[in-house]
Amino acid sequence: MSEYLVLCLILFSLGAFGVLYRRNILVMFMSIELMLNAVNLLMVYFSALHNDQSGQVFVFFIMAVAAAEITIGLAILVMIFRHLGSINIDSLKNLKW
Amino acid sequence: MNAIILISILGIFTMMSEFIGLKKFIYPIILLSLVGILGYNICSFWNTPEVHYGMLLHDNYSVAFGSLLITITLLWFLLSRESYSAGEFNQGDHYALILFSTVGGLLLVSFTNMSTLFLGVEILSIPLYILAGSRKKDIRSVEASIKYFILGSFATGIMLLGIALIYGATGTFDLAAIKIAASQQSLFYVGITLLSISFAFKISAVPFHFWVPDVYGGAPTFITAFMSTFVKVAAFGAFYHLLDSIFTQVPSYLSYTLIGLSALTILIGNLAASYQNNVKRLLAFSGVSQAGYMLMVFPMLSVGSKSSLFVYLAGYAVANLIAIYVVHSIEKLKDEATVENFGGLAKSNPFLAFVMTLALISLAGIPPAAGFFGKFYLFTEVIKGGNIYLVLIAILGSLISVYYYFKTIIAMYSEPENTSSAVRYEFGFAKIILVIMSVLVVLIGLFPDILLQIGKQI
Repeated sequence: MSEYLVLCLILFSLGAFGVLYRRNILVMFMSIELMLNAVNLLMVYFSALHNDQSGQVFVFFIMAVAAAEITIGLAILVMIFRHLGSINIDSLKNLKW
Repeated sequence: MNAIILISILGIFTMMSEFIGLKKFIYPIILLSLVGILGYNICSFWNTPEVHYGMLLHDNYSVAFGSLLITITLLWFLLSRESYSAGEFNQGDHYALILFSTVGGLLLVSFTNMSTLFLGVEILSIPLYILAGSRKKDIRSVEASIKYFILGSFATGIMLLGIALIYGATGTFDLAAIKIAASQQSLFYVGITLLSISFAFKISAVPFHFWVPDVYGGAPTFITAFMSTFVKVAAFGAFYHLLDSIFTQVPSYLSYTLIGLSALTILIGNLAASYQNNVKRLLAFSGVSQAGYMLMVFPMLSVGSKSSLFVYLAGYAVANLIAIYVVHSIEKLKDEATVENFGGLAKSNPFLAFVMTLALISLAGIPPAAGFFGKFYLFTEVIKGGNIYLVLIAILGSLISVYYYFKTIIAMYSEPENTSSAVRYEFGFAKIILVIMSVLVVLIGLFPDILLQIGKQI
């Protein structure tokens, strides 16, 4: 039964490591989406396990919010590309540590 | 719940005001509506607690924190007038985004279902990602925006995994049902830990604080003011509400983690702040250390800890708003608000210097101001909880903080007038608001009983 849990956790970790290690902002966005979709899968699995519908409804919330969030992210990305001509996270060095 | 609906309508109306030709009147309309909603919200304080559709809880806690949040928004609108009337930003859209963010904050202090918590966090954050990058021509603002966005989304992902695991362990999203079903399952505890980590991101506790100086430093100064007061109050209110609803007593492993987090946050926040030369970044780090003081009461979950948290947050928010307003006035003349640029402010503009001194004294926790009382009450609660060592660390941290707060105050009063830094512009409206806020800071410090009585009933 817990194979689904392991699968979801692996997918989530892949997403998390992608956010932390990839330097291309577009790939980082895709990794964030991977994290959220791993959670979606987990929600659906638990929903089926408990025979409870609310988990599946939550998935719709997550999908809608993720779409809104990534739209904002892409808009910010366009602004960065206009300034720097690159979407590499390492080129953002204007705020000193 | 009515306050949430009314502010949402106000936000949509503000957004549309640009093309229905009400642009000139929108500012007074927002102010009057917010005052009305605040009054309505305060009046509902003694109503009997009720749950709306299993999603939102209406009790004294949500009303008290909701009123505090609306008050902060109102003060923000009053102080930010000049920056927007100068045509620097697109007024209507900004105001609408701030109002939507307020709705998210109100959801966060009154949720009773995990889905409302998730939606609240997102409604609070998404407008702020836009606002942080609202100075489109300035690469620093855009950079702050993308950093805030990536870390915010990352924290949201962690929060969702936590919610999913708790759902897996208990089979429900409802907080009351979770409290009953809370089992010894490891899934449940992993879920709670992940939720706590995502909240640590939002309240900027130490291992997760690295985004704070960059984002607060790069965002437009008024947006920084909103983020460092409103978001912090909302996140603390939500985190406390979550722990309070799920547990009757915080499990020992979580309470040790929280104590460790707060000790680290106090020490590292204060040490990092004392190395800063830019006052905006200094205030960002001081905000980190203030979060550490407030985290101290989380393991107790008593009536006293709730009220001390409320009183401390109220004092912190008002003082921080004043301080950031003064930083903004300095930044108008100079590009950066370094400590040197504050030199001689007492001669060129005694009023601003006085107000800034009062705010910093309150943040440092020195007697006549609100911060002293807040800290005193907070530390008393922690000692009652039997945690002497944590209080010792907190007092050590406060001693360090006196150094960097007074660095700015001494620069303002003792250094010779930095002729180019003379702040002599006229400001009528904001001056009145600043006077009112300073009186508020002193009044809370002199007569703490008023807030304390409210705090005891939540």
